[in-house]
Amino acid sequence: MSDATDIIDAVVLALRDQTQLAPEMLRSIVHEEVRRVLPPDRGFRVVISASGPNHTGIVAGIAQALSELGADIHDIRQTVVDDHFTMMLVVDSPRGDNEHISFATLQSKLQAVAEDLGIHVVAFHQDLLQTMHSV
Amino acid sequence: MIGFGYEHILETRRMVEVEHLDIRTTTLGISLLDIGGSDAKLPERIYQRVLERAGRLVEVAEEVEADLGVPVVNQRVSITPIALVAAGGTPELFVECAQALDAAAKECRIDYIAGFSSLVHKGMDRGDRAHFESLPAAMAATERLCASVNVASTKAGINMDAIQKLGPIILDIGQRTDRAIGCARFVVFANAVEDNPFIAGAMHGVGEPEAVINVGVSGPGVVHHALRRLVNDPPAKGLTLGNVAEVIKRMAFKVTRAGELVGRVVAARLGAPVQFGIVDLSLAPTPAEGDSVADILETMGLARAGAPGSTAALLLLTDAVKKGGAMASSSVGGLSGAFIPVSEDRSMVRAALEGALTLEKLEAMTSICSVGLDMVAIPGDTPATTVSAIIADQAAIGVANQKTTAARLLPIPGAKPGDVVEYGDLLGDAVVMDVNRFDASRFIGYGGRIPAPIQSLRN
Repeated sequence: MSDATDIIDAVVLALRDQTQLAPEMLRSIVHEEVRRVLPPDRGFRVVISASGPNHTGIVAGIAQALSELGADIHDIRQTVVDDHFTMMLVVDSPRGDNEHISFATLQSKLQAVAEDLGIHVVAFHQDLLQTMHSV
Repeated sequence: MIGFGYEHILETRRMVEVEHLDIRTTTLGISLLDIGGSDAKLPERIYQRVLERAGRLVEVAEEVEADLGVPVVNQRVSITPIALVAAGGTPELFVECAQALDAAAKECRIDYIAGFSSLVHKGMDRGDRAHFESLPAAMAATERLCASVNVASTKAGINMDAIQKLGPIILDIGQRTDRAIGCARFVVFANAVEDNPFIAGAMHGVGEPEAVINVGVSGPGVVHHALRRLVNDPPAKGLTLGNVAEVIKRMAFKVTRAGELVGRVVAARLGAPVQFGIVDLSLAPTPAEGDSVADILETMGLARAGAPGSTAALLLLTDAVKKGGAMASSSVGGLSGAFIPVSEDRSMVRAALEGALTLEKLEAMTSICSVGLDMVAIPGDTPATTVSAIIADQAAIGVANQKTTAARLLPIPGAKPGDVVEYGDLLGDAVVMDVNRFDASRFIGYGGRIPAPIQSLRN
């Protein structure tokens, strides 16, 4: 757990009974504020969706790119249906001694890898998915 | 994962990539009340205030778009109604303020700046009269400025003197700008709201704080595709309109949540004094394929928007959007209904061209939707009193039903019913509608005020 996540958890816990905001919304707001105070882009979680025609080396290519950035794969699911490859990853940005990467850096690295591999890659911030898809 | 499953990742991708989910506008509302006056330095003060508040808006919005993964398409600015800011000023000063606002919009790289407005629902004062007088020149001298007038409210009644004056003013704006495009930036309201993020009618109301971010989300494509899936794969017991309402509600929920998140993040990154204001739940179409409110009506089972049943279908749609959106957010505001702009919605344009959608049916639908007669092109030889009478009808619908209504009429010089005017971009193609030729000039000529209806006595 990064420092930022611990702080965010503690603040959300303290505030959640005193606000009408949905928990995910509260978390997003606290996350934003904490981000502004702490060094930038520490401890965010990204959801990556990759798809395209199947061939060897796709999983390796993406995993390698993420490894080079020091991002930690938290969850992964992948399937091939009729030669169509789909993969979803939940990725934690690096913490600790690694150099901090920005979301923009991650995005451009992913797009470069996607082009090399001939697949389509999209990344969303975890906050977007949480606020949209739970009540 | 907490709060979402793998299927939601794909769903979000589909909504963004295929179904045109995006944040239609993040509009920064700016108060100018503290810098008002009637001195020659007012335009410069206005210019500097807009730059100060909105200078980083585009940059921040682009950053948030990249960080969250959902497109943030337009950034706009709205200001305190200008008639309050320049209340003692001459019409010439108003025109200079218009130009200052236009220049500020260009400097900030935003495509529209709104709020060149006055509120005259009970009567007009000096500032309002100067505002009216300045309108044709102000609209002709600018490219990005949006103006509006509130002529009626449920509490005050309908200011028919103001409406009488606006007929000739709208015709004048139409004649002074290329294909009446100045009229596309001018809206006449009844029951205007203080926090509408959608141009051309946006303004930063006097009850609002120093600076707010209000968000409008684009959801028609998302709702349309969800309904198509429902119709193609109905429940085993058969499909009823209740199912339709459910699906629309759920989609509206997700769309609203996305909008609120973006709005809060943009406001937080702009920093004090900017705060998050509201999400406008409105389904706002664009000319892009698959981003149409009329398409939704067609998927619901009408051959064309404008066919019998359209008003009922619109009621179901607007109400379901509100219910889903209200569940998603406690900060709902703006217009929050359905938009039925004739030019900005590809299937509305088709319905108008085919004769399925008439001005009279549009008027009926405005009793249910949230923007009234929007982007309605009419023949340029329509008498000014008829233009006023059309506005008066809109005001009556709004005032009696305690809702916002509006008229954004484009009298196209030299055009006949059925002609098409191509504006392109977000304004789309406008079909010139047939206007009832019977005369209303004596009615409009009387002027005065139509008193507030009895439903205003609610205390």
